[in-house]
Amino acid sequence: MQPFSLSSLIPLLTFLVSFVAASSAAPAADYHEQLNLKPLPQNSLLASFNFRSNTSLPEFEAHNFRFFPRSLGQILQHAGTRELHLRFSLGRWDAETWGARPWDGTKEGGTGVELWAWLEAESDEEADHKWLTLTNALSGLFCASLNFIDSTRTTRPVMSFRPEGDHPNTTMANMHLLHGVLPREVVCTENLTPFLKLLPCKGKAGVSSLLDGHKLFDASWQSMAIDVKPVCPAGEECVLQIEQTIDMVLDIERSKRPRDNPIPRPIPSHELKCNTTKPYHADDTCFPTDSLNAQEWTLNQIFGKSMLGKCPLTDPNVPPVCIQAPHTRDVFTSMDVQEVKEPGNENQRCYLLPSNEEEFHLALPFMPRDGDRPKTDADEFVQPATPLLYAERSLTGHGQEHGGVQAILTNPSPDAEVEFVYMESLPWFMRIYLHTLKARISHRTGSDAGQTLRDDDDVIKEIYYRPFLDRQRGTQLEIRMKIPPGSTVFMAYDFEKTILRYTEYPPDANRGFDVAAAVITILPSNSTGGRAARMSNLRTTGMLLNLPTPDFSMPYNVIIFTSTCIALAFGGLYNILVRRFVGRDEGPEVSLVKLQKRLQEAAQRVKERVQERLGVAGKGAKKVEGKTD
Amino acid sequence: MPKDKMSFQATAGTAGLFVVAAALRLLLFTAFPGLPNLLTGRVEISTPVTSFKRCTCRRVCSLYNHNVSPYDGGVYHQAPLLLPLFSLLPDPSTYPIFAYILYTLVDLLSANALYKIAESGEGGASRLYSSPRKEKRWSGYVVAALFLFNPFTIATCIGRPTSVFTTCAILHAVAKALSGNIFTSMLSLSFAAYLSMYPLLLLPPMVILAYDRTYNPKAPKSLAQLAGMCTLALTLTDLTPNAGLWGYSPSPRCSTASVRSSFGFFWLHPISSYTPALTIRLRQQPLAVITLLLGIFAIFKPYPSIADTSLFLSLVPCFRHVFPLLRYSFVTASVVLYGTFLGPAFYHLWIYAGSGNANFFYAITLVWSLGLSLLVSDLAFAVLRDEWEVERPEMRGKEIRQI
Repeated sequence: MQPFSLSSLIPLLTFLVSFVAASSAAPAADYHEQLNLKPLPQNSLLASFNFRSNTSLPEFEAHNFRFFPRSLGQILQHAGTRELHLRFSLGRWDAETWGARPWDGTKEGGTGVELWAWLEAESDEEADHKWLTLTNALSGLFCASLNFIDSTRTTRPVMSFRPEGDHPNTTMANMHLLHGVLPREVVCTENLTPFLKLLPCKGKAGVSSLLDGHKLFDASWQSMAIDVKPVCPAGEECVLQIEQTIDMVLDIERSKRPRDNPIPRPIPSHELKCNTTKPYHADDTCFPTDSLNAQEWTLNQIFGKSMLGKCPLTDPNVPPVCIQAPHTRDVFTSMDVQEVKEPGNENQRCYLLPSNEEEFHLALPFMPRDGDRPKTDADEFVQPATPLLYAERSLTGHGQEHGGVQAILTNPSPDAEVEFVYMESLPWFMRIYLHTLKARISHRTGSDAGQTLRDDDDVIKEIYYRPFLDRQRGTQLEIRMKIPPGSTVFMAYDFEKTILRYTEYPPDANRGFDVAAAVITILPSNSTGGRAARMSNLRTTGMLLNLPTPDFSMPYNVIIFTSTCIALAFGGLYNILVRRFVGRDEGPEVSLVKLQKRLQEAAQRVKERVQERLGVAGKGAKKVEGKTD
Repeated sequence: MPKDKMSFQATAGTAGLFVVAAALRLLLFTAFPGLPNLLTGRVEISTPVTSFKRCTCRRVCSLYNHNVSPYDGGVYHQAPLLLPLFSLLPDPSTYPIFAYILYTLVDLLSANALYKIAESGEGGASRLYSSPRKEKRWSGYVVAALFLFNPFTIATCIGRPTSVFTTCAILHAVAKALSGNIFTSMLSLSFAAYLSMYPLLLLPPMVILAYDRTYNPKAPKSLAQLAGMCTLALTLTDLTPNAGLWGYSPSPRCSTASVRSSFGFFWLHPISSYTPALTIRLRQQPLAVITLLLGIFAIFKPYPSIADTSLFLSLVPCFRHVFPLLRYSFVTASVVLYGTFLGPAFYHLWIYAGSGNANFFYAITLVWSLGLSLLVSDLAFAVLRDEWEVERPEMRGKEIRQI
């Protein structure tokens, strides 16, 4: 156990310094894990799990993977992948309430599965081939339908993504970025299990022992991320770093529901928390209050499991659990746990665990809102930071022929403008009309406040557009925009819906088709400094597109009807063209007339015969013989 | 009708007709500003290959502006020659009047060509054949009026698909062939074929028509001249790069008549097989072959629209003399009207109201196609019977049958 022997050498005094160094990008130790808890408004809790391990590049090349998961490492080597980003996401981040996203949004994906990677290849064809290998291998590894990322779902973003790792210039020239999304994929427990298997402690100890599919996928929003990139700290050997992240926003009330009785029951009316300031408040009407309850929870309650000590492989200098709450918030932990406070950030408290394998407990008790020292929201949680940009996107129009998309992008900052790249990768059956792309702007401040202005194409700085090809590739649209402070941009464009082939509809065609989230990359700006100095991301929600559907019950009837129609049209004309005209009583007899005559003759014969039978028999027989030839 | 009587100049009456027709169109454009865009979006008028929305300057220019070839994508399928035309037009969203005037002018040009075709009397009397009923015919004035005030033509004009250019080119090819101007005729036909490829199948009857019209027993060189002109038509069309479109349409993809066109393979086949059959059988009446072929295109062409129907219907009045021989005129008229009114209604029920499914619209497209095919075969029957009665004048008005 190398890390242990190392740690005993480090004097206590340098501990804080190394902690700061570890939390910034420089990878000091080979494995580190941390759980960050952050109470959010409206009874929510953000839990961010972060697991990071390194292996030096020469050792990786020599198949000495150490903490790096071997299964993933071999796939990466086989597919020539230099940098990999994989996301499994579910739910919607409520930016209005929860504020800025964790990790500046760089570790989240759109709903479903999102994958992008830099592959080393000589040509586009080779890159496509390696991408196919990669998606198929990852599909098996993560039990996800990643193999369905075909050419129609793959794009090559131009402006939106940049490599995050340190790549030597020689490989940079041959690196191809490919990006694919599966918006329909339902992320579930079967994806969590392989995710946990990649960890050195495999969910048996440490913070990962808290992860449970029942709670993770019941969260209001969750995102699982895997990032693999080479990192070259100054003056040190380059390492390949894998960072696994799980972010989830738990609804505390819902998480506290017991496992054996998970069905929610209606609250008895006398227990309802009502907003009594509403004019219509009465005994039989109730408007629920915003802050339902003071937060009160323990780690065991909300995760449904207790944390089994710390992972023995982890860097002992990194505290495994941190909580971001005001210093006035009461937090109780189990015995022998050392509380550490970071000097610069007084709202953060971290807990160093003893090396024994005892369970770790954390409890945030009920803080009364009345009494002699009433507590407020400010004691419960740190007010979340305002995000750099709010974005929402929706479908407009009606009917199943035409439609539109509208994206509403708001820059909440009073003084700084925000520059970003808005990227859409749309399925080919959404035929977008680029010339209908319009941006309108409305200012919240200034002389023209509150007015919706005319088309303002100045907002759009640059457009990269790659049109769709039926059944071959989707539309790729990247728009670089700059929004002035305190303004909202309404961007809209029209599209036409396509009728697909019979077999291209999914089994539940009337549910609609999922359209991937738009990826917004906020570019770092030099002027504002501070928060906007690094690239950050956000994603809109996915969309559900309704397409006209054929009648699935009668494809063969349709074939038969259509063929009949063609045959009638062709046969009718053919008949007229090839046959000769004659008068009604001319020419050879038609078979029907012939048949009619023959029948008449036969009837006549029978008649005669009967008459002959009645009369003389011998003569009649002769007569019949003569007639039959 | 003797040639010297043929007046190719629009008389005062036709000038008045054209002014009224143009005024009606411009009135519709300006009085109902929402109408052009509404009709542009209708599947009956705009098909993926002729949609105005897909080829407006702004759209193409925006593709150019973003360094994208307009063909590198699934939206633009028109001929490259239309690109400069539409880029010459001012932006239709700001100055729509220029597009309106252009389309109105194209309609008037078509009507003028149709006027000449009707005045030539080719429908009733060609070089090799003269109908016993040829005196019974409509003047060019009536035929042009029937074209200009046909609701299908007006709706097409207002919906602004690019198929009106094809219509105009085909009518001009016929008119020029009738006036013996082979070069212009072939140029027109190659332009039409360039725009939408399938008019190439009109080449054999058109050559026969032009040959008949320029036939002069004293100067047999005209045949060689004609051959030269045919190569012009063929080489011009061969050079065009819109094979992409042609390779595209047979690939089974669904358009308006959703499931129907997934048999793209079946559509090309009958179209090309009709040309030799009709040309040989109706050798004496090339204009009738052209008319019947246009009717067949309107039914079987990939992405048919009412523009094709209106072109077919515009040539039918040239055969006024065989109208008494039509057997199913009432049934045909009823079925076409039935399709005209119920088609949009069923489409609405399926796409917007959601109260009907795809079968509603599919069924009405079948009815529409059957109605048109009934008209085509009925017209073929009438023309053939008319021809037969030259041999057997005593059979006039008697019941006949085919063997």
